Amino acid sequence: LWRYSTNSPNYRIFSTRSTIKLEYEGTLFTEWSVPETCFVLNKSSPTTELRCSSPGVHAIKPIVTGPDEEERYLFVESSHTCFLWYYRVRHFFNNFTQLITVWAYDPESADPDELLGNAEEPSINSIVLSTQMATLGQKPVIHTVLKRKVYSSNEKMRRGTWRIVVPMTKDDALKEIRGNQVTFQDCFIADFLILLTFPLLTIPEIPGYLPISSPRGSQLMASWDACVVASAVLVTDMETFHTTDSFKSWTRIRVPPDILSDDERRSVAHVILSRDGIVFLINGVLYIKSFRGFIRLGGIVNLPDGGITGISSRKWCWVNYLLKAKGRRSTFAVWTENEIYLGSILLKFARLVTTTELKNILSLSVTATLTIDRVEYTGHPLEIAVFLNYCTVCNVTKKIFLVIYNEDTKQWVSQDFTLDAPIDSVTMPHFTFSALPGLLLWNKHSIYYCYHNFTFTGILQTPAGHGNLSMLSNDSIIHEVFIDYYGDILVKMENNVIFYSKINTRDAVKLHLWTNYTTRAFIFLSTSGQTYFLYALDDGTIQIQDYPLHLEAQSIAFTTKDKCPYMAFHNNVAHVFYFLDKGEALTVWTQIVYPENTGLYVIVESYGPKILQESHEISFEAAFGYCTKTLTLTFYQNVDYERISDYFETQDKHTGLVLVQFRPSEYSKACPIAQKVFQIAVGCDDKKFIAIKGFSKKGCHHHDFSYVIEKSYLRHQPSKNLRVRYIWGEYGCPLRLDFTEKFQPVVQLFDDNGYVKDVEANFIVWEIHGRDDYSFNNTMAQSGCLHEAQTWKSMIELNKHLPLEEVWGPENYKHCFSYAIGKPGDLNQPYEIINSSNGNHIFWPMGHSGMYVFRVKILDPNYSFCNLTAMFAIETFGLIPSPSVYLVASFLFVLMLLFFTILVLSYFRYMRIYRRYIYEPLHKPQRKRKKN
Amino acid sequence: QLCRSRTVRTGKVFNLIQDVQGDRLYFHPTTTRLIKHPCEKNIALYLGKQVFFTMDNFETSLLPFTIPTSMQVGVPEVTSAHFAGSLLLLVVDQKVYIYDYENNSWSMSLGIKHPVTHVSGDNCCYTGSLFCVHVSNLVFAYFRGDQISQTYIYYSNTGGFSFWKYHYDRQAEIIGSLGGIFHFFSLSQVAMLVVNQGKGMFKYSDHPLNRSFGLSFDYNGTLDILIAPGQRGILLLWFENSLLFSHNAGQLVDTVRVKKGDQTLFSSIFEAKITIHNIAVTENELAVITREDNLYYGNLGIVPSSIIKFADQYIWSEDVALMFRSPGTLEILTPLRDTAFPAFDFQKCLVNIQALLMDPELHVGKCKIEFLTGEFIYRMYTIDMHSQLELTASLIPQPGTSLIPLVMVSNPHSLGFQATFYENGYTSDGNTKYKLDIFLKQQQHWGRTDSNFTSSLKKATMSTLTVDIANKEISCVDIKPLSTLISVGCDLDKKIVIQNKVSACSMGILDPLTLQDNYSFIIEKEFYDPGFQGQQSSEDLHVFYSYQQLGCPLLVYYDTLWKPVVELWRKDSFQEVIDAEYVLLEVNGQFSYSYSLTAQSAMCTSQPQNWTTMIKEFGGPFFWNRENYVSCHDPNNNAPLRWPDVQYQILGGRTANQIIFGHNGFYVFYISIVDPYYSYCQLETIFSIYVYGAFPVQLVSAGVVILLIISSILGSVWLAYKTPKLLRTARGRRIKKCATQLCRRCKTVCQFRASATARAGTEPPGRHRTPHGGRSDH
Repeated sequence: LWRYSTNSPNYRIFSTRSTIKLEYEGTLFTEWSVPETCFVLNKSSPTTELRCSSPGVHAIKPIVTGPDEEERYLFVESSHTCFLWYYRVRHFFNNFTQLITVWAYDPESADPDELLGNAEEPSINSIVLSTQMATLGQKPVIHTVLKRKVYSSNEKMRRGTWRIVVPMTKDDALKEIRGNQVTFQDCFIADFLILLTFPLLTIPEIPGYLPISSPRGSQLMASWDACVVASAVLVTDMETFHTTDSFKSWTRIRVPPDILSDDERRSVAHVILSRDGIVFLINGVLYIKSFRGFIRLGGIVNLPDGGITGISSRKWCWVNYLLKAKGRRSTFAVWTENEIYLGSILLKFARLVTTTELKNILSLSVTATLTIDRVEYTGHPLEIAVFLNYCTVCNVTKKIFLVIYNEDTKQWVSQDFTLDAPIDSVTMPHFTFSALPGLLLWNKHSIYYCYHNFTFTGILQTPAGHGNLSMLSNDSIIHEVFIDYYGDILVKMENNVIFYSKINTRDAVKLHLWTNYTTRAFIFLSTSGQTYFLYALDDGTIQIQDYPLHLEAQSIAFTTKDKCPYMAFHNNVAHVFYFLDKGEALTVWTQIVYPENTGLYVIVESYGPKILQESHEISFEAAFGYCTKTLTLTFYQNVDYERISDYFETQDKHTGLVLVQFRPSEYSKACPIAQKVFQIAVGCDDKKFIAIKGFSKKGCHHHDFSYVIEKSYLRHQPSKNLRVRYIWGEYGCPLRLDFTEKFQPVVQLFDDNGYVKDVEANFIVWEIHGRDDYSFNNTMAQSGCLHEAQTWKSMIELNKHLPLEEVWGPENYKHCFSYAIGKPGDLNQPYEIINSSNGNHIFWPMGHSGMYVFRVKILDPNYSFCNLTAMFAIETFGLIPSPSVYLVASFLFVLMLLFFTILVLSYFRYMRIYRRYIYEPLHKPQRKRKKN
Repeated sequence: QLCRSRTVRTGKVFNLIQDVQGDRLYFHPTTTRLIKHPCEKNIALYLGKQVFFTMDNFETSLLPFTIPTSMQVGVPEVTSAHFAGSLLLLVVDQKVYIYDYENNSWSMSLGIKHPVTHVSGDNCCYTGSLFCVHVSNLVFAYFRGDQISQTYIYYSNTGGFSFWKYHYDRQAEIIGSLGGIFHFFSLSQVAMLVVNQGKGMFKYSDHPLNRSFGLSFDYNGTLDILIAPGQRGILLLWFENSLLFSHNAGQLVDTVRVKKGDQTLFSSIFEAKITIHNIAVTENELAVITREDNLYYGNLGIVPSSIIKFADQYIWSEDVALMFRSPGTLEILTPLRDTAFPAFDFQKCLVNIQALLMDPELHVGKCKIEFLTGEFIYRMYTIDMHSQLELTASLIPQPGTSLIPLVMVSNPHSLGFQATFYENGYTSDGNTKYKLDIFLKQQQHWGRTDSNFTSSLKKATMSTLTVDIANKEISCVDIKPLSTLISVGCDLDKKIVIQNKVSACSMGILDPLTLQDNYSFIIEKEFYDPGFQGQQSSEDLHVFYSYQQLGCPLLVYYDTLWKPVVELWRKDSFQEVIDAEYVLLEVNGQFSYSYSLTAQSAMCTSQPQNWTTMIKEFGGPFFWNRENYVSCHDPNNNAPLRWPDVQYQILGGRTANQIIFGHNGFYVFYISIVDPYYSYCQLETIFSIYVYGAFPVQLVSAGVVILLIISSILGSVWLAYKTPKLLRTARGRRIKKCATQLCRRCKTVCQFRASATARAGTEPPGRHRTPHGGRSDH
């Protein structure tokens, strides 16, 4: 038995530059046999270092006295990636941020602390390297994988480290540290995937409490959070361990001495880790250990007080999903022989079904025996698989059936799966991460697979020509079946022999022995998507060790000459979850590159309601002996919601969750990725909302107040004035407008990433308290109506039984632009529908000011599945004061005075002229006479 | 090894036994057929000992297909089946039954009075095209093997719901039995397979192919005829030991050869001594399974077609059938009977043709094409009269090889093209890129062919354009020929609009609101004839004015000669003002308008058509169109010009004919473009005009009025001369005196009355004034 390791974590860098540490476990060692291109530090030491200066496959094995040791074929790359990122995280709960301190280090010349991941500060070498890199232009940023956000450092480098602040998130935990393409000594820094969630705490140990364990001599048992794989719980036959960082650190779970008997404490049958705590199944009863203590779960939480045969939690992480029905999905399932209970967060349990009901649903004979075998979560975010034992004469064999329940549609669908098994056999299922249901099912010795919705089934074959794994592993039995998101399947036997397979393939191969037969071990997935072994030592402690799954599988593939039938399989599916609203389409492509003339293609499969139309376009080209087939897919809906009588039912019928997967038509174990799975949700994204441009809840003095609306301004003409309370928290800051100013609200669409776009669809506004002393400046004729448009008045008239906010909406909107419907009517009425381009404005009554609280609703039935509304408030002001009597009088008086003054003055002037000329004529004719 | 088989077995988990209801259909005990829906890839029908209909490509276990007992079929034997759009037509017991798989309903075809054995038709998969719908709806039903001279052939243009008797030209004169009748859309011809004395040949319906038969070929056994999808004109005729191929809709039929590498092993199936069990055909591929348990594969190119044999595997059984799942993927399907359940399972074996062709023993060369694409695939084009089309394709051969591109049209009688092939740059790896430009227009307009070769320009036709590589290897499975359907016919986006710049509403003569509000007007009985014959009617007509349809009427001044300005629009964009010949008809039968030209003044050389004769001939109005219009200027029109003074009722075109209106009011006109060479579309519309400015109608005739006026003038002149004379006579004086007295009396009466009311002065004002007046007179 021998192993190898490198300085870089998870064998991330395994190149000609790496120091490969060889380690022989055993006593019969003579010397290492290595190819000439590699150099061993000390050939005859069982633990030594190896360097291979040329890239390629190198056969390495120890020469021993006695039976031959296994030969490994190590793939040593010639890579220009030789540095890694190191990160530390500090949590700040005051503003819910995390400070990530990042520096670069060279695993070949790093501090032991850095290699072990314990370093708080960079070593001298790392400081030098990081600052060198920084001067060359390196600057790491953090990308999130799910939401595609980017965070970068906005301060200067400090002591060779960059500091990046990211907000704490629950649903965007997968992050990647990426640097610029900068080299130092021809070396790049590898991108580094990290999982960063809200800081989770392990349950502390309380002195005096007693250990809880599985029965003596039993195998390890574990459970982990599907979305935070670093958070796990492990039950050995001595202790129970809890970790939140992939067992780099852990605490022991102890229970108070008074609740369980000694015997019960040593008989944990099953354990799961839920958000509420650690749930143990002991002698048919559930117990939960959380920060608040250790509680027995029974009748108080609607669970049976005994007879529970199993518990199960989710295996695959889907952060986003679409629930059409109100409610939450369950987090774990509990079952007895005859009943299934689903538990959701905060320990709420509800009985899902009983076998009697199931017999009814599946129309089975009442007399037959039907028991629940197992309940297992599938790869679908909302589905639960129930395995049923069915027999009429139950003495030798039973039939195992599978029924899948959808938590959203509440439907039970019986699957084309049946298995005859001996009455006492125990089968364990594990669903794969795929769009169509696919699962592995194992008993002690062999593994049964069902892929592609139960159309591709069989028993995993071994090179020996049979499917019995025990026969190839010294009659050991299957302990653990591990499946990861890439489709790798590891079958670990109790004696630590590992078989390797991939989903959608028919066979398994035995991997090199990594751990000795006797150590009790368990395979886990680390936060960076790599596998590691966990060993439970006899002294009651545990230890972890990285496992180079891909190097080991490559070594085996090299001996079996297994090749991947294609060269590359790409797609541009950037997200795992897409929301399609009305009128939206999703276009993605997927490409397969394969050796010429092998005729491969990409298979697209979808699972879920048939609500999406697909259009395919294939382009093909060949070059350099390779063929490239690109499939462009567009998912869309073509439903017109306009003028339909059953708007809400039609909406409901065309919404749902569809899982889509791409996979190549041919596949082998040597291929890197099996399939690409993603979700398309058609429906309302509840994170979508609208708001009116220019209105906010901040920036004004926050207080509630009351005001009175005069009765004559109200729509219903009540007998009394209406007193209204202005709820600031809901209505936001009012906009103050002069009442001569017309106003057109600009509706903007937002989602959880912020502003998306301006809404161009039609919308309506109404004053929520019933005011109607405002109007619109466009008439129906100006808006191009050919018949009378809908108005609030006409809609209230039509739907008298409904509250104001429901009388008019997308469900009953009819446009006015065609002759076909409606009477022409009076087209000079105001047109009450606004959109961003029709120039329709609200105008206010002159002569009085007022407070208006409006609600906006999108009226276009083809705009969104969401009921998009928003509130805004407008306060009008500006008074034209009526002129004062004194002012008018004084003005008139002045005017009169002026008039009379001029009159009197002109009289005197006239008199003067008159007096002057009274005795002499105005014209003297004497001159004329002289001339004549 | 060909393939790895798997079994489809679904729905059999719980022992729920479904009963088979209805009559179980069957086809033939030893042979099978598999009919795939040409457009919907998951729908197929299996015919064999059992019949299976699937909508998911046989991915579920299926119960045998049955026909409800209520349909009362005698022997439930299926002789032929065909998909017509969303309908499955089955000939069961010599009758045609329709299964609508979308609604799961059965019905029987109407109109078939005589036994039939087969249905034939084609499907067109370009969604959204009305031509395609039309193609799928045309179905023939016939009795195969009957003597043509006396057989009954039926056709349907409703997808099989109702059939009519089909009249083939001179059917009674054809000697031989009927091998089938097909509508070859690739050639726009109906063709009949005539079998006579062990020879078969196709006879076509239309010019220019209707003069002679297609080339004859050996017809032994009863050949099944498969029209390959895609309207490329590819036919496969097969029987157990015969496989024939035609790439031009039966004009030339040749045997399919059996090859190995480049070497032809056998020149026909008969020579190869193999017995065909089942064949599968796609646009470009052909697969054959034989009783000898061999699988053959070929591609349907232009070069004499051939098939090659694949390695053996035991796959044959009596029930086996082939289907292509996608290009290059063949599925071998065998239904499996289940003892415990009535539903059959299916054994499926997926053959990856491309990988099998790489078997070195087959001596198949590598594909020399790296890239072949054209933007025109998956699209359908239209060439209307005089319009043209330019398509391009690009091609990259492997380095050091040269390819011969081929451009073909399936119907050269109507569609002609000019193609240029040239180098167009290099790829990044230094490979030469080639481009192919194809310029298409109607064959008649190229002027390169004899009129005996071209079909009639007036008739709308269809043709498929295919771009392929002549020296293509069989291994080019993924390089499909580029093919598109071109309709030489009506561009359905075209419509005509009557220019309405001056409407009665814009001039304020009519109010649009009034017009919209159930407006109606009256046509007086003197001005209309519901029979369009120009006779007066007995009562006034109330006409509802449909504002939706007609909008505001065009305003026409009564006193001007008028003709509408007809605009051609395509979708929502204006194209041109139409100058072609058109006719107008008032839809309510008003006849108070006339034409400015007569047959003679329009320079007609033959008697022009007019509405009266057209209505008589076609039994109703609105049937004058481009199909039946004959120009009176046409030298080939030999109707003599007997009545040169009749009104010439055709507007537009070369004449300056116009309309003269008789009275005010609304006129609603139907307009139809009758020029057959303007467009293939039936361009017609309805519009309204409002004529104003005419005098009100005269009640008395003009002569009487003139007479009255003249006589009154003369009378008054006479009176003016006579009165003074008369007054001087004694009699006159007496009359005068009498009159003055009467006057005076009147005055006193008046005065009295006036004084009584006003109490004015004693002297009546009249008397006071009179002397003044008298004085001034003298």
